[in-house]
Amino acid sequence: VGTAADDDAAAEFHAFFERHYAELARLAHLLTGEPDAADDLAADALLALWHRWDRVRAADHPVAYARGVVVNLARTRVRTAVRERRRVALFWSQRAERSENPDVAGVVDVREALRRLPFRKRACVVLRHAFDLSEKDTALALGVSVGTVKSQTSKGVAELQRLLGTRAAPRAPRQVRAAIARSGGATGGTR
Amino acid sequence: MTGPRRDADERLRARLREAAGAHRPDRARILARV
Repeated sequence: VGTAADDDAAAEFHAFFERHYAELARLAHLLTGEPDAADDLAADALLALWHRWDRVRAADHPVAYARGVVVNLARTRVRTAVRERRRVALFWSQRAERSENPDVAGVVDVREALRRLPFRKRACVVLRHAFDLSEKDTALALGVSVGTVKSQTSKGVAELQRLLGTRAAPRAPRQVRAAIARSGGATGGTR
Repeated sequence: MTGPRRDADERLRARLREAAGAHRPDRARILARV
């Protein structure tokens, strides 16, 4: 027999579901790269939350907890997929080698590039920059320190830029720029 | 942070936000599983 307290809990959970299911599914999508699996994973995370809703609703940041559950489920799924790919690679080693090292800048889209990042860097970049979470909230969701978020995000962004071929061109050293200026700024070589 | 790098980072952020928003979650599918 349901009680008024049960009804309240159910109503609160329902409101939480409506507010956050889309964000959680999108987070799962960027972390796994799989649209259908992302929705199932978000559902599994929400179900896990409902099973411990009394604790979750009492937490300071229920949504941070929810994001953490999504991240953990996504990590497990990605690891399983990687293991599966390695098994396949035993049979198709040459082909696998090519696909493991397609380090060609500018030909991959952002989702494909994300999939090539190690999971923790990927999660940091996604939470910080796709979902605009603060470093503190990202750390809370991932269960790591703010320092780790800073370093992993910075490295992850640099790697993504390299994969996408969008990294800003490094400036020439000052002496080189000065020499170019002295020679009239000519860039057309005589080779 | 230098200008070109800031621009590159901003462009990357925009692409990431766009990639996140591109996924249209199936509410009914999620609800059915919960």
